Amino acid sequence: MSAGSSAEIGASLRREDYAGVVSRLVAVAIDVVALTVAAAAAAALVLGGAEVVLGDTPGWLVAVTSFVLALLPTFYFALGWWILGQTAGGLVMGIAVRRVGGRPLHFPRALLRAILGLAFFVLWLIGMALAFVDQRRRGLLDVVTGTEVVYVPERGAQQ
Amino acid sequence: MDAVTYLRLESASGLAWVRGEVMPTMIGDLVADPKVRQLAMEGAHGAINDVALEVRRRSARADTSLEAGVRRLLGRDRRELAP
Repeated sequence: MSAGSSAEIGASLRREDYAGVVSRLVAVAIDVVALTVAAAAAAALVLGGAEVVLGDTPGWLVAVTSFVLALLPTFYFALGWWILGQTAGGLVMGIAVRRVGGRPLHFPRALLRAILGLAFFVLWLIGMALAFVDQRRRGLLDVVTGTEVVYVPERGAQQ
Repeated sequence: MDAVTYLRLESASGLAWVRGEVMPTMIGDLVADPKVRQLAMEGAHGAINDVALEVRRRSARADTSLEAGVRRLLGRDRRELAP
């Protein structure tokens, strides 16, 4: 759970303790690359495997694989934010998502954040401009879902 | 054959023997040694961590710089932005 990392971060944070636009965009870019590679590998493994074993790729297998891969980004983000407070991009960039006030995200909120962010990606991107003026560097998606993104303190660093 | 030429030929053949027989065995032993492997893994892990830390620091600096630039562009003072 993200309780550990989120709880470590005190409630009274300076503006500089909240993750800015650059860090968040780089984290998303890393996630996009990770998802693309994972989806391509999974598709190649399943469909290629079927081709080799069965000598043909059944239509139902293509449909099921497409369905699972379509859901992959939503559950990748939702499970990452729920379990760790971070996705792979967040881990690399040292940023974590939490509820306003510092508590970890419950699954429904993490899922809602993932669905809204993916469904309205362009709006999410435009809404990120709000982080320039918001005291807690929150984008539109953060405001709507009641979340904030913070830098995770480096291990051994003084708070 | 004089003594110097003899010594040169002997040392050359000795080096060739070390390169051909001894070095591959030593390298093979080192590569197979779990301690050496662990050391290499730790080194690689440390290097990856260092790179990640540097990327984080640079992006955090970029966050602040970009924000300052946007605020200058908008002509907004930091104090106006308090909640």
